[in-house]
Amino acid sequence: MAASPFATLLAAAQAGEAWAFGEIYRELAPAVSGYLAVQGAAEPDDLTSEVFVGVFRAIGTFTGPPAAFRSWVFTIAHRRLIDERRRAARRPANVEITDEREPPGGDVEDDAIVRLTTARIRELCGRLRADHRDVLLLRLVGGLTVEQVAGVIGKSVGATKALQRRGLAALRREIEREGVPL
Amino acid sequence: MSGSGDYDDEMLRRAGLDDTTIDDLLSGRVALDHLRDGRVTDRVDLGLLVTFLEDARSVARRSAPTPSTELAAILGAGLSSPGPVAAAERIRMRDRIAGLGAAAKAAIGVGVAVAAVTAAGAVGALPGPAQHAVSATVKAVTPFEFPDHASSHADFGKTVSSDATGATDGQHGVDGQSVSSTAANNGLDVARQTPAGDHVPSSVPPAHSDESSSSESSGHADDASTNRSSAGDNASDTPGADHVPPSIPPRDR
Repeated sequence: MAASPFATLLAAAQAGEAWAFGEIYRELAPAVSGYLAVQGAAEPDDLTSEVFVGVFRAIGTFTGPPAAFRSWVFTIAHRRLIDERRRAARRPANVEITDEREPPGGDVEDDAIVRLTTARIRELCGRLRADHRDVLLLRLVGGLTVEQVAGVIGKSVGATKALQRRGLAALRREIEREGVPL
Repeated sequence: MSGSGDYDDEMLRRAGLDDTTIDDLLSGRVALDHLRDGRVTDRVDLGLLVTFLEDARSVARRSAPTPSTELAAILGAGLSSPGPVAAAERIRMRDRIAGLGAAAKAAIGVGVAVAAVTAAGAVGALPGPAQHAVSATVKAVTPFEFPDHASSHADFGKTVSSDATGATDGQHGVDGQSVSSTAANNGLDVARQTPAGDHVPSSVPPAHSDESSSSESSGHADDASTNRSSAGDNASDTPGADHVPPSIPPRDR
């Protein structure tokens, strides 16, 4: 039986092949970077690079299907984010965190839209409780199932469902208070 | 905690947001287009929320960011196989080391340090005395020989020039007052390769017999200045004579 494309890709990455790393980065880096940006990471691009350096160095320990791989990558990303928040908490908090970086890509208009969208989502989600925000953004931006999110944040599926339900209710309240038109 | 959660749950129930609908919203199965084209006519009230959720999902469709230098190196050249076998072996090794006693761990530490120093010694990268020590140790316990700069320079300093000892002029230290015949002849050879080579004398004037008895010494400071003047005279005959200074300044040592 022929190996699946993912199995081939994973085997190549586990053998240290650069092309396989490139494929994985192209496939997952946008979502990881977006997740870190809307979570308010100070330097989302740098943190994304840190995440993937960690992913590639540890990829030899991964076993499982493609969906589990995505979840594994987001577990690493989420932990790096928590580490960064802890580091930031130890530093003097007199620097306002803003997303001033230039988004990659060629279209200035698209870049501006991406930046504004990211800023608005970050601002609105910033009003939510951290655990609500984690669950909602891992589902929305990370593209993970509720079971996968439960694995990333280390909670039961039931507890995660409760968090997403309450998080969504809080989000809806905030959106309606803001009154953003369709 | 339970108060806020109960309120949210109640609000969601009244809004008709059960777990299935929430899952549909978060996974994108209820999208803005569905609301607009009437496929989900009973959920038009979710317009604002669905718009926001779609925007949030769009963040994941941005371009991949420019990698850092470290990541770019990995993406460009790969890694020397962090494969499953190597990883499993690393874990087994870590477990094995964790199970050892303190003395055994210390021995491993010393062993690693010795291996590192030995490796540096093998390429002759250690400072002189350390390199000599490593070379001697390796030579004693293995059939191999490592480079040993200390041994090859062991005779340095054993022979001191007569000028330095004061045998030639009664003054200790190299003072430049006497020049060996070899150095003088080498100087003449070099001078002959210059444009003024035709005017270079064939020999260096002999040393004053009353000031030196050594055959190594064949000139003194006064002679040197005299010779420089005569060399300057010869240089005045060359095509670049206009640029020749009246006297040649001494070279910086």
